[in-house]
Amino acid sequence: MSQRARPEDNPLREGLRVGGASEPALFTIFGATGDLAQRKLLPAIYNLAKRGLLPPRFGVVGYARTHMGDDAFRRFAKAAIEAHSRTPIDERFWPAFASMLHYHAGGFDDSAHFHALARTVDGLDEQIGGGAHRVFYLSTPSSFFPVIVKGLGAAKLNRPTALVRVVIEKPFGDDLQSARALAETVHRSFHERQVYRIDHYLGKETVQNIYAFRFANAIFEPIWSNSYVDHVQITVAESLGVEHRAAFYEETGVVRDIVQNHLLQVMALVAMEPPAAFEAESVRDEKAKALRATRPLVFSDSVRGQYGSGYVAGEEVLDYHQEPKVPADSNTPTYIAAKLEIDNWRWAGTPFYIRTGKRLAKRVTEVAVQFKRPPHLPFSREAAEHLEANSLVLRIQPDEGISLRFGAKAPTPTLSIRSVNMDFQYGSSFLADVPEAYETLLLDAIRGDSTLFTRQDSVERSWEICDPLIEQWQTGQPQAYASGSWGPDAADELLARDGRRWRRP
Amino acid sequence: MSRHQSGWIDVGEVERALAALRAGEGHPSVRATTLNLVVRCGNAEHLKTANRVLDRIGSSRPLRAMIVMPATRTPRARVSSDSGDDHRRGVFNELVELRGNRVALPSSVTSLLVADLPVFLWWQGELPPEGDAVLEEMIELTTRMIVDSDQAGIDAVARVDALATGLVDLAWVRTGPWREAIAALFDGRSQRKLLDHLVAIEVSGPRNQSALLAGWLRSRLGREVGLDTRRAVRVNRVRLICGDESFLVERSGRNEHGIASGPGLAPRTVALPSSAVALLLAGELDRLGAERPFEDALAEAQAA
Ligand SMILES: NC(=O)c1ccc[n+]([C@@H]2O[C@H](COP(=O)([O-])OP(=O)(O)OC[C@H]3O[C@@H](n4cnc5c(N)ncnc54)[C@H](OP(=O)(O)O)[C@@H]3O)[C@@H](O)[C@H]2O)c1
Repeated sequence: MSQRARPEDNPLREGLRVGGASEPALFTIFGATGDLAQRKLLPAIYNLAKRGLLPPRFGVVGYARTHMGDDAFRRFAKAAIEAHSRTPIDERFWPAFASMLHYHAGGFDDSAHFHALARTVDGLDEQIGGGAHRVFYLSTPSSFFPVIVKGLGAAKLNRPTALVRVVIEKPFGDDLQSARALAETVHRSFHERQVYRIDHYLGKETVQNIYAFRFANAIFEPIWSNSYVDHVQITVAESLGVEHRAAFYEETGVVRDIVQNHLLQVMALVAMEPPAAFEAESVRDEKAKALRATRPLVFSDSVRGQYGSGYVAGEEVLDYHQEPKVPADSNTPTYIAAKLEIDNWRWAGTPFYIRTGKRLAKRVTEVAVQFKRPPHLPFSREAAEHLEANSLVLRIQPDEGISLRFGAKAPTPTLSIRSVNMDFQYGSSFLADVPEAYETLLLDAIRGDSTLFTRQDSVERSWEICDPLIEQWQTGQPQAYASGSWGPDAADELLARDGRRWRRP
Repeated sequence: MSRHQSGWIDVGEVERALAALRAGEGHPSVRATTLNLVVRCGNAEHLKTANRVLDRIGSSRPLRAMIVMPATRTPRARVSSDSGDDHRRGVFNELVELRGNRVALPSSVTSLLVADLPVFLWWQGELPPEGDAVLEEMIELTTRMIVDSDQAGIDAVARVDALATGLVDLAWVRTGPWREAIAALFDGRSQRKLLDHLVAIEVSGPRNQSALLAGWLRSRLGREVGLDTRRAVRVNRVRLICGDESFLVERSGRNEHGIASGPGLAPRTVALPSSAVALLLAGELDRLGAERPFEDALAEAQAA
């Protein structure tokens, strides 16, 4: 492992336009036959390879119980990629790609299997010239995370620390205590800097665009504070119901499913201070600070809902209780609206309202920054009566873009000022061929860039924000809302109380 | 894709005609233009290539394109717009085709550039001789100039390089996957030592790309590296001779991948795509400024 020259010692690397990874790497997928591996991981690796972003010396090791050899795994991977990749398989390229795929059958419960895996990985490492970075991706139900990290540690696959990383999928615990317990177990084998907690939301191009929008432009940041912003609304709306995942959802509910991770992470991006540098620790420090300043969710400032029957996009859909595997007396919330307050210099007094739920009117994720009204309007009341405050909306999905609402004179003989929307759709300015979030994140894990991964302190703080409410919501009933609506009426009242209203996305 | 085209009009009427196209279609009132692209065509073949390439890159990079072709008359223009494959995206591309007296073309282009956005000049075909005023005027307007030494020759490109700040050569871009594969051969410590003994390379490929590869190695290593070329339409094989040892990157048949091998290295597969012009060009539109390794390689290639 030590016979590698440092890349800066290779004069031919200077100035090469590699957007991708250059150092050799081996990527092991635990749970390689599972749903996530088929739908996301294998297609993402394939597309990275096709885009020329993988290191020239690279290999994949699939690991699962099913017995098969390399060839069978290659066929399996091909079928998965054919079914789920955003680009079709290029037959001219396939043989080269397939030769990088290997398979190792084994269970999670036996340390002998991990020692055997270590031999496979070492063998491949040697084959590709040695010194490979090693990424272990835990794509298994989270109940297996502890045994797998333990097995990796026992087989010394956790070393050397500079080259080895472990990627874990959410959930990162289901409350503060279990998140800490999980971290403790993981930290017995891996240093925190080796642990990459993946939240695919953070790999979305448009989520990353929030950084660019805020910190690459001089004109927005000065007004990005309580001096000019009245409040912020973050909406993560899904139009689907629980589908076939009721058993999982019954255990989880909307707060664990969306708020604790995606929503608070997006909020942190909007609220954080500018990092000194766009590198992992600076960015994650600032995000963690924003979360630390965020008060925990409060019962009296939150509304829970559960979807009833109704119509979504013209289609009649079931009441939550009628979904297969949902108990008749379930009080699992499928919707939340809440007010969050951030106690720091920038945001004190400017609330962040969040809402997310299933079976809402349409699928949309957006952040709306609502500005204060002008201190004085030098127009007659009639002239400006239809004028709304300025707002800036960052649309994350679908229709990624930014729109700015401002007042303009309507072409009428008497002075009349109306709100107009200026819409910028990045859609295709730069994103012709938008990579999947998993492509971005897998590549980062391979290159060892953890900027877009969640650090343990943020995970814990997010649970601290959510736990009290989850606890209080154990009892009592959520309010029903019609499928296809924007949630229960109480959500509107929550804002009306503060003299505000939700925008219609 | 919906495309609308005007008839031939005066250059002074172009902006109004474009505005009319915009208004006519219920396009959004905001256009997200990211760059100006001026495409110089010398003949009908170039014109065809330009249109094909613009069709492919237009939907991903909102731009105003100007296709410029010399003709014997006062410049006239024809404008068209298209809004990509997907109306919802509201991307609105503008295409201005300009034909007229060579000397009058730069001023026509100047009057039609979208303000304050970078200007890319893609010069197809051969480059005019030294001291050509039209070329110099065009370069003056340009943020980044894209040429192809496979068409224009290394010497002409080197001459233009002295004038243009951000010059890039598509032939150089074509060698990208090869340079990457070659660089990766020397990441290991023992291979890195052999790099110090690199004396010559054998390339099977086009002359200019071979010369650029050798120029690249000379400039990166700061010493002479011999070149032996066997002509082929695209690069298929590069052998690097390091004292008694040698490294090889070789395309597998007609494939877009090949095998890289060398002392102490297990042979491994490398991607060697030959991308279409549209793809190469699109990549260059995402970059601004000069590319030092290219300029160094070009200087070495020309000196040889
Ligand atoms: N699926 C998604 O869309 C999705 C989305 C976001 C996050 N996630 C997270 O991703 C992770 C994986 O989810 P998934 O849906 O892919 O799970 P899954 O379909 O149930 O896959 C489980 C995988 O683990 C293997 N496995 C199970 N028990 C094993 C054992 N004792 N020894 C060895 N291998 C064993 C299975 O292999 P065999 O088939 O060979 O038994 C299979 O490859 C979970 O943490 C989940 O929360 C999933």
